Amino acid sequence: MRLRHFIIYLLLITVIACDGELDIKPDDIIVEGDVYQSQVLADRALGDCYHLFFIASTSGLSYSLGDFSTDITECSDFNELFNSGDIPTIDARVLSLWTQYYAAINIANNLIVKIPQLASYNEEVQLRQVAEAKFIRAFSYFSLLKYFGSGALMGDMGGLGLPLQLTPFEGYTPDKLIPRSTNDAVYDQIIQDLEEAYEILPVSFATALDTRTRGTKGTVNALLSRVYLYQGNYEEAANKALLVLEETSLYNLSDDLLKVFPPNPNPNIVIPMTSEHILCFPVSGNNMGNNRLGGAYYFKRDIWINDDFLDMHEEGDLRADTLVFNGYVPNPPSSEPILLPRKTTFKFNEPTARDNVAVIRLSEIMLTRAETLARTIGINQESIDLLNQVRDRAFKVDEKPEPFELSDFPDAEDLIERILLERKFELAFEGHLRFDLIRTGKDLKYPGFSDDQKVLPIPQFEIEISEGVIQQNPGY
Amino acid sequence: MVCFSAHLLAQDGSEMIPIRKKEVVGKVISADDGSPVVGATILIKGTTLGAAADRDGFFKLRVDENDSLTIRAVGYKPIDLPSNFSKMMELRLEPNLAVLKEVAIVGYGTQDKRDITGSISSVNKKQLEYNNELSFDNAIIGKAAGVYVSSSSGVPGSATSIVIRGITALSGDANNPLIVIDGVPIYGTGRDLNTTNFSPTSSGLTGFGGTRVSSNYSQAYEFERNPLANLNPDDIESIEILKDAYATSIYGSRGAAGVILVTTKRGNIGKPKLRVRYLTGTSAPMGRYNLLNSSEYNDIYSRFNTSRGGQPFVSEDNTDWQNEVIRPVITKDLGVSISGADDRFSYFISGGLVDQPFYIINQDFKRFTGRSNMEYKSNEIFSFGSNISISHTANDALNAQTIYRDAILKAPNLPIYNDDGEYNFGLSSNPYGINNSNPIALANNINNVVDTRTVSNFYLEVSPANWITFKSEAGFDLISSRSFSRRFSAPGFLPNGEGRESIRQNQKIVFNNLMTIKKLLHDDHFVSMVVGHSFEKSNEQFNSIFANNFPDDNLISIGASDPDSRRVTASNILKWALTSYFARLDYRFLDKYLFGATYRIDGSSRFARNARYVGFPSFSAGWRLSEESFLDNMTFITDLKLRGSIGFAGIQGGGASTYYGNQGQYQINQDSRYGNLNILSIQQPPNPNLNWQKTRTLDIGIDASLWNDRVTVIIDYYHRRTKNLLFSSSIPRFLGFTAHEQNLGDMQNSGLEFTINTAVRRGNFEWIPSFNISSNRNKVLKLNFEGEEVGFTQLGETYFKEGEPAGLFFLYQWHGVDPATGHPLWLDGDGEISTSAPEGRWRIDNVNRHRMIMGTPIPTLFGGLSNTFRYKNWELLTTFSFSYGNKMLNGSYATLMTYSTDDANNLDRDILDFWRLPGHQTSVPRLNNNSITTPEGETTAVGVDAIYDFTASRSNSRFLEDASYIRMRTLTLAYRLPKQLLLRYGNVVSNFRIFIQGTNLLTFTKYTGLDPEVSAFGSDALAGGVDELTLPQARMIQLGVNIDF
Repeated sequence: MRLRHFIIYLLLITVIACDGELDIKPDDIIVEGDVYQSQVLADRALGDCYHLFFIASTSGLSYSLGDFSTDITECSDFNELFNSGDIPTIDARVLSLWTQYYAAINIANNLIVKIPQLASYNEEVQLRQVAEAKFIRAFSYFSLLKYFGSGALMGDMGGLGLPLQLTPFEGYTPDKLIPRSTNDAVYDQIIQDLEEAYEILPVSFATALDTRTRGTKGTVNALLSRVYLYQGNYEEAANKALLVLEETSLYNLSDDLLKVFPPNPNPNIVIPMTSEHILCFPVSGNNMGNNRLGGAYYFKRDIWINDDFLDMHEEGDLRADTLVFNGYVPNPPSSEPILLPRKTTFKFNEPTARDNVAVIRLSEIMLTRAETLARTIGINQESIDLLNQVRDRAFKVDEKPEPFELSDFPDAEDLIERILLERKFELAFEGHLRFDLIRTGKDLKYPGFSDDQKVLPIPQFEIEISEGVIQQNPGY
Repeated sequence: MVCFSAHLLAQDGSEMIPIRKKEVVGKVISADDGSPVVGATILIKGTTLGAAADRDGFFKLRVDENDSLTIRAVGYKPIDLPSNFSKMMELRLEPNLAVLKEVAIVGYGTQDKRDITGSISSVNKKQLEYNNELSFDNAIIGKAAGVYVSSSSGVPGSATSIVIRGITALSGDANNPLIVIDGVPIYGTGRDLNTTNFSPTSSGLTGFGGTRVSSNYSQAYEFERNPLANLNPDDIESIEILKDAYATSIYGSRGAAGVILVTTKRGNIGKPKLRVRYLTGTSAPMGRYNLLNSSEYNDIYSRFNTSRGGQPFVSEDNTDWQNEVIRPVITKDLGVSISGADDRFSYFISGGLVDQPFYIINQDFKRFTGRSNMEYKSNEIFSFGSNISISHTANDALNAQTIYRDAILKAPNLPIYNDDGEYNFGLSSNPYGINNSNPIALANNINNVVDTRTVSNFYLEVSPANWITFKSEAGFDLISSRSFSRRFSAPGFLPNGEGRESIRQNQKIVFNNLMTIKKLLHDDHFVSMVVGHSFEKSNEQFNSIFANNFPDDNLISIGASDPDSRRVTASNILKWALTSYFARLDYRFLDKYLFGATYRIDGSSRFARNARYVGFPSFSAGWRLSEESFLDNMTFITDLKLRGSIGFAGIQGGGASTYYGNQGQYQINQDSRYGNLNILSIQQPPNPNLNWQKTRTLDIGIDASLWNDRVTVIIDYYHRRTKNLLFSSSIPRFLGFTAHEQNLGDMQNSGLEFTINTAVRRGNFEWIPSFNISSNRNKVLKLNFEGEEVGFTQLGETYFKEGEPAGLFFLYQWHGVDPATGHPLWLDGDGEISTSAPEGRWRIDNVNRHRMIMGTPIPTLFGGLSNTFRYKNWELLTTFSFSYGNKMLNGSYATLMTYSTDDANNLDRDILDFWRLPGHQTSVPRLNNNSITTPEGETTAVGVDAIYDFTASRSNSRFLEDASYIRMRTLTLAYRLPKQLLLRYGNVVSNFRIFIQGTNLLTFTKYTGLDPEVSAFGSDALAGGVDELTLPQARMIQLGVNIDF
């Protein structure tokens, strides 16, 4: 071989091992471009979005703060910190509440922006996926707003709301920082997302499980009625609630509370949802892990029921009887469990926290309709009927109380108060009361809180990392 | 033609005139080891007549009476013989050290050592002569300046951490150097590729409620093996550690953490040389824990439990579990090699067998290795060859750590066997304890990993002219590794046993094409150049299956399990490829001035197209002062060179997370579902801004050789600045992620290295000391948006802060025991002495303000000293290594001082000095003290576990100790049988050496644990400095022979 031949041979080898050899795709990872080209994978990404929303809605403060910051519960010092009026801005649970909802929002943003850009499958499916993502985004922003929006539930529409991140995350540089929008702008975004989703979403899905766990027209209306109620737009709240109530083939009040909150002895059993469930997180018998709420409620690690609250109930009200119990702690190797001395809610009665989690129930919408009608047109028979239906259901067949009549209420204010009381009984331990108290100008657990103290601080971390672009709430 | 005729003339003359001719016969041998110097030329002075020594060193020559001779051989000092020499002679040639050490291995080539302008530490086969370590990385501890190697544990074949000139990256694996064996970059050290996981599904250990230790350690069911233990250190000719930019930049994106080049042995010219080496001896742990016996155990736990209203401990058995799991063992190590060469063909063939049972019962290690290195020169232009190694490593000691830990912690008042002779897994009458554990029964389980590996290369060299060479080579590193864990049935918690089998297949192929030019131009200009291309491709495949229902313990394999219990737990393949172009140019002028430059472009499949290629340049210069006239009168200076270099190198990162850097990645989430919807989770968001991390290194060094090479000194100063440090850093949470890989950090390392080698000879006595010391200062200059990061690693909560070294211990301050009350005292962040543990205030306070920076696990000074003394046939060697300034979190002691949990584990005897009455001065608090409590701000409900033991927390300065040490690693006494004796037996054996060697005999340290040189987290340098009942290294006494035929 001569030198020249060898050089040619060398060049040949070099050229063979060229750039194309570097295009290697991982085997067990899917890159973003491929995800949104496949209907099946995009549906799976949507599953992730719901799952993250579920985690955000049930972890840490989420859900339980609605109860333990009110007088229906007593709680540990750990939780009592949130009733001190002086919540540390560095609190890890506040930060995680903020973080987890935004994680769900980011996936929703991905679906909303990238499906139209990349997808090539059936357009109807694309639209449905985007609509579901908008529903989750709206619900997440609404949940954040009720915790963090300064005056958002107190009619201060110009108050500081949330940073409205509406595009997917694609690498961070400091110019990606955005300030908080006003409450008004956040409400507008939520309502816009929901209205757009409403146009597309189906009335129901093929299976009952999907219908009760995902966004539908009914779910959107139910959520909108809550949004308008919190915003103080009672007329719209009443309208949207009515749309839900009219959907009688889908949504009815169950005749037995124990069907809505059934005894659940086994983490592996699938507990079906009732027609009263408008939106519910499917945890029982599913492989979503636990619902994060069983610990707090079931074992009373942090929260237990205030006896005074139970005493407020009428004689025979099953919500203070059947739906209340003592949890127990398994005590291996002994087969005798340790009974807990204090009372907790039966709404979470599976020891390993595999109960479904009710998010929107029909009784809430009925009471919303009743309340908002009373607020807009004064005392009226429809409100009283709705109130009676919800109240009546909570008693045994032979122990039903005398229904309320028009004459029982001297003025609209009395009726509203009674409806709010019913709401307190009916939705107890489902994370509602705090926000009902705030929007009606009532005290939380203890009197004397300023409006500012009823809003959580923005996590200090977020303020520091944004170098002040994101502002703290007044009072912190 | 002229020569030829002169020859003829001389012959003609001898016939015509009867001049007295005589025939001389001789043998040329090396003065160093008596081996024949093949090819030595014996010339008659003033003529071209002569002869060459044959394979046995013999030559024959007819000479005139008044002829004188000159004997020359490459690598030896020439000798002249005056005219009246005898007819039979033995000529001893002294090795010419200056010439022998001239060639040094560098990246993609060799270079004259005296011309090297980079910083390279070398360890040669001489320094490994009596080696008894399984892998070469352990063998170089303390022998190379700037290279800090520390073993993770005493388990044979367990990982080591190799840090060259300080931490380079903030991910553990990226701190491992690139290791190149005979031109093949191999799968090196690092947790990702070398960890075997054997997590059981049912541990049988139950624990519900009870007190928890805050910041506790839990033993992971995994074993990180040392990939270098597949290579027989006896096959190594030399190890070069490339440290500065000029040496490492030619390895581009993988050079920043340093490069280790390993060159294996070749055959030397001569007849076949058979070498046998055998080493055998005993091995035992370096120390043992001082534990409670049965009655002391009962006493402590009864006191503690009754003080909380519980029952006493009364079980009367007395088992020394530690003693039961430790056994005496005999290790064996046999090596055989045959080597030789003639002017065309060279070969080196070796085989090795290591049988190193471990000192824990039933834990064994066996290794078989083979090597064949051959080269054939077909003519002046072509040569080709191969270096093939194959190894089979069976490590049966994967359970060792768990058995040991379980045994140390097992209650001493329990028996090994029940009355019926079955293993006892229960608690007898103990009110509580670790149920379902029996370390002796555990030792019967199977848990092993078997590696079969070949690292080989095949090459062809073409030298069309003597100044230019082309070389093409293909290299392979193929590993097939099967790990198998089989837990046999145990009553109650594991009725049907379980098994896990994992197969890892790593396959790497590399092609290198090089053009090398070495040319002297016009006498004064010497140019040496390498231009090359390299392509490397790797497949890393991993499969794992699991089953937990076996009908019988005699059925071992997963295939014999109940089909319904079988699962595939992992099955995937990772691929990557790297294509590179590189060049190096060295230029020497007047033998005084040296210049060099290198450049490498790497293209990696791990990066997206827009950031796929990256270039790394470096430059160097050297000035040989000893050639300057102004130093002429300083005759003691043999050689003196000042050198400097500057350049860049990178890291490549590892694992799947670096794939497709700028695209979002999604992975199927099999564990969750939402209603009817399956889940595809986002693993990594798109990251278009991600860039290559680069390290810039400046190095200034002096190489000096004094008094005719009797003293050599190497001094280096370096300053490394790593920019664009890849770091997963926090981002604003409203963006949807908590952290994100970014190029945010900035870090520097600076240090001094000093090496001195010398030799003192007085008659028959010889003393060869060799010493090196290195210092390194690491500093994080920039980190992330917060400027600090807490809890970076799994344990020890490693802390990073701008302006401080990386990998800090960040701990709460233990302030001893109050003699008045017996409660622990703490120092909080306000400087106040407090009786409540600041760690317990996390619900009401920012607890990090109570923590203090307390040093790092990485030493500020380290090095080694070795001494060789020779007297006649005797040789005495000692090697020491030392480190200074490194801290260790003694988690072993923390565990052995933990009595508050429901584990009721055995304890260190120090516990007996617990505080008893007011005025009692002790470091052990009263048993029931107020730092074993609920966190502040928390109320306990009945039966709910909210009690934490803060006294035994790993985040607490109570257990942090100075782990500086000086260790005598080996002490060797060797005796060489006298030559005359060997000659008497026909000279079949040319060399016979017998030696006795002690390993780890002496350690000077303030560390109170068993061994200051362990790490619970394997090769991860950033997570070092934690001892968690980690198996101490073995102390060995061995007897060995080296025989050359």
